[in-house]
Amino acid sequence: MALGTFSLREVKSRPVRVFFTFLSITIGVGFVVAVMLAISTTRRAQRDILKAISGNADLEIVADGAGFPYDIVTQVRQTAGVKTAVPSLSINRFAVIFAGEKKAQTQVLGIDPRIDQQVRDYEVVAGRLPTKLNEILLDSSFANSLEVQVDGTVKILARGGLREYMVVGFVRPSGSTAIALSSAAYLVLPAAQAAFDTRSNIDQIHLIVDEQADVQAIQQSLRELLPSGVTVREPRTSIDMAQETMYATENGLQLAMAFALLQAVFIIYNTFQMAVGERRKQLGILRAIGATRRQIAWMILREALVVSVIGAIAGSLLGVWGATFLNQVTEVVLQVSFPRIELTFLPFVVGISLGIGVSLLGAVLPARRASSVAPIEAIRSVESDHNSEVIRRTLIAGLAVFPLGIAVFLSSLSGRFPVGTDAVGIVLILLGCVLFIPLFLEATSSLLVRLFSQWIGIELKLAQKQLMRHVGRTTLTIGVLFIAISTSAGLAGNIMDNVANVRGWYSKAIRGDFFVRASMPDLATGASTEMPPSVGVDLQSLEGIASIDPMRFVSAQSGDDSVLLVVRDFGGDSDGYFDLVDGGDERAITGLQNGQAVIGTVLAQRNNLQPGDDLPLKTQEGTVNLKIAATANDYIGGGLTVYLDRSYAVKLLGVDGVDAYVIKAERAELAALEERLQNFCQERGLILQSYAELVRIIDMKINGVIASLWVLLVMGSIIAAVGLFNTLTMNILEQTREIGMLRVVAMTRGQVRRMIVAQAALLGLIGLIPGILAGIFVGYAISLSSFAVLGHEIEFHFRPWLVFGCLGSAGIVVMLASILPAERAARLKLAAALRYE
Amino acid sequence: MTILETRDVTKSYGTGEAQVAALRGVSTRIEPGEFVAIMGPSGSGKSTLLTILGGVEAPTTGQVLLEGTDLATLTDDERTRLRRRRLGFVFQSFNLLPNLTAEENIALPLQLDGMKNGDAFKRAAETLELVEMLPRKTHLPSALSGGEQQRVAVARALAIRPALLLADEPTGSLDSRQSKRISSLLERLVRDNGQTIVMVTHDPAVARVAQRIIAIRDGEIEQDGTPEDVLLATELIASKDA
Repeated sequence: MALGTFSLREVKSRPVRVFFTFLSITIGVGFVVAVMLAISTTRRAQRDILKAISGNADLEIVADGAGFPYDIVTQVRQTAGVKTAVPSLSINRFAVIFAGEKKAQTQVLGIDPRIDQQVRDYEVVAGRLPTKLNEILLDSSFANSLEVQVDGTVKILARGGLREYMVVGFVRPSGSTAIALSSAAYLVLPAAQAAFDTRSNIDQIHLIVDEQADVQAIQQSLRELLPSGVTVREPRTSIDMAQETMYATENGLQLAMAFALLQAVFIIYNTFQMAVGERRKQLGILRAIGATRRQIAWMILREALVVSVIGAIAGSLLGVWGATFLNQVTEVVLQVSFPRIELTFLPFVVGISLGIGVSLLGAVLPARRASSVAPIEAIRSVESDHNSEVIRRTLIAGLAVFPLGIAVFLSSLSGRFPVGTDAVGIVLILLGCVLFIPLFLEATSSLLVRLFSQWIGIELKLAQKQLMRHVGRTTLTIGVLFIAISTSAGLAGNIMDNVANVRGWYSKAIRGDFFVRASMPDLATGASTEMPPSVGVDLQSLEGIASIDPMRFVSAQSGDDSVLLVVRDFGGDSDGYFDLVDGGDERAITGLQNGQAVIGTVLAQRNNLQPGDDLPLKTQEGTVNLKIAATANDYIGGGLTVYLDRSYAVKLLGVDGVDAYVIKAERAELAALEERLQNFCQERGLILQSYAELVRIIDMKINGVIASLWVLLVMGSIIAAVGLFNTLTMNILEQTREIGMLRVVAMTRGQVRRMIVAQAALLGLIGLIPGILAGIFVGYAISLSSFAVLGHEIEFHFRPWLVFGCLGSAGIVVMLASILPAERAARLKLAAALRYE
Repeated sequence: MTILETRDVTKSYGTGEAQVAALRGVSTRIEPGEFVAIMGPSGSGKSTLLTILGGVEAPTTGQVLLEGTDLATLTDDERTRLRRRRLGFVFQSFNLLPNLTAEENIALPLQLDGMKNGDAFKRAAETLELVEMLPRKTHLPSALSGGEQQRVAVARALAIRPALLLADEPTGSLDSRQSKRISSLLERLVRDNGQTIVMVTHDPAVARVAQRIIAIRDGEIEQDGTPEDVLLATELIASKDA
């Protein structure tokens, strides 16, 4: 009770110190909560990319041929973790549609109109969804090309015969649906079953799983449930370009998360070390008058618990506000659309546990140290040398952590450890570096004092002495700066490297100006509508076309991987097909012309393949072994792609036909050709798509993801600045009496300011210069670790402007963070400062 | 020329009913070469007077003139420069910087005033010699006894060659043997070097080494005279009170 009163009085008599301790916890917890919420938002943004490209399903169940009984839907819905199961009849259901005098090929989908929009992105722009057996819904542009109105009628000719339907509405698809279903007709499921004579069978179920569910576990459960010939898998398009770019993003998010936690730990622990360490003398007095070590430990724990609980609650609120605010700022500044912040339990559990846990640890350790020394020793205002012990302990820890980090990182690189452990390795390496700081602190700071003594001699020396007085604390502060700049610079560099890689791929592999298709291929199944041979001939007659490249996409299997077979005419021009990684242009084209394949690096990496090896490829028409001519960086099909020349695809695999024409325009005719092609496609019910437009849409989405990473980096910098500000202010509180004495005997306010700013400058120089070097390493390390997933390294670029930009801006942040503490120190009341205990 | 003069100095803390008058119209003069002890019971205002004499605190009313300069007319930086060139401070709790060695502590005010490092350390060594602490010049305060720390503190105050040395209970934290040694040191500085010293103390034995004692009670000068006169009068008052 007596100690409780003492604690309360202590809080009242030291409001500034208590406030800054509270602030540290609030900031640390707030940072973690905000970062985790931001990551959750970023992941949702990524999911939006997937939705835009592949629809909303997490898993799909598919069957070849006649499909499977509808009853399976009921069993699937009862499987743990399955949120929604949406049945459809949609695979390879092509038919001919008649509208008055017009006739076209269409892909028919049998849907459950009540729930289908949960997995397919389309908007009803006129009329309504079909509900009866004789009702049909059409794609609006398709309907336009057929000159059909709502309430009009069309006929469908399929296996079940010719049937008439009333058009009840038009839809405008988006995302992958726009690509896959641009000439689609939608019937209610029983109507489609009748049209294709499949009795009560369906051929596809799209699944949405619970947010926290283990997708792998659900897949396993479903596999046990499903009859032979029916498979469950992730939608193929989920591992296409978006996921490919998401690898780096996800890796970045994991790193950002790890770094946020690390920074929060440093800031909170540092603050408590200072707050309790400063009371060493007081604790000594308590010991001298009879308080036991246990009593003192409990007193400190109680104080830490109260402050940390309040701080953690405030931090949680701050985190929510921070994530929301930054989300809004990002949306406005970068003109991207982010999902709303989703409040899940995990960020709060992690943030609050971390805040309270680290506070208790940070409080108990110095309290234990203070209470373990003889009371008379603790009462002395000058603590006997503790630094050598700090140096010894951190060195031992560093010698353990640093090699461990290297071992984990290298093991991750070599594939012995799972993908993702590279982030753990990098964090351990950085932590190891921080732990080595005490060893070099004296020498480095002395060197800096010598270097700059000409301009700011004695103040700098005093600043150095003060920093060296508490090696542990100084190391923690430098550690915050070191971690902040190394992670910021590393992640920023890696973001740019990834963007450069995607753009490099665009520029090399996508050279067409327009795509002409009958219907876009469903990348998940390879199903598409072949175009009549006359289309190619007719296209040739259009003016302004420089070249026409017919393409075909076919689903295939290689080993355990589902791959996308891309069939093209690889003519003499080797330019504009690939972003080659291994092989070379000439070898690739010559190989393709001789029946070899060019494969995506992801496929090559997964199966440990390289040029010269054989690729076993199973198709619906049979299995062949293809010699690999080259490997290419590919963002189509998630890099699980196999490119084959048309002549050999026909010969070896029986694959023929054209799904799409890639058209290059003569430069001067670009605009005119677009108009001609629009008319051409409209007349024939074909789809015209500009690649520039596609690239722009994808760029916009990628920018959204990148923007959120930048936000994390900015937050990291702000936290580092606040952490430094807090540390400096706490430092000054502790130096109050000394600063007062210095002011009395000799120092002007300007000199005091310079001394505090010099402290910040020393902390900055010692933390930031090695930190930026470590940042270059982090960027390089992340690029190295991309090999394990992508099969090629994201090429690392050294960007001097980024290095100096990060260094300069961090330096400014450090100096800004020192202004207020310096001013506070300069304005200390001398008589009060001299009495300060 | 008078080194220090106070004219009707008052100092109050707090406001309204809570206002406490620490000094009530203190006027006195300190001449060069004088060794003045300020005595008084706890709360009498002696330490407050010393901080006002040193320009650390400003009086509520009245004037403090150091070598003819009214401290109130100076800016904070001008007062700081005046302190570091003309005034030396010695505190009861030594107030040495714990992370600087003895000689670094002494050289620091000189360096802060722009003296070259070599000159500052040479002066520090000379001053350490004066207080018989030269052999301990590379020691940190934590490695020195209380008496030794106080001698270093005196050396730091003397290193600037101050016109006036202000000492606040310089023996307050020391045992009698160390206390006597510091008293003798101060006496020797006045006698051999002509140093002017104003020292606050509650210890009559220490005050006895001064040439003049100003006795303060309730913020007012009660006695001002030779040690014999003041101490005798104080004893008489004390015995009368008893």
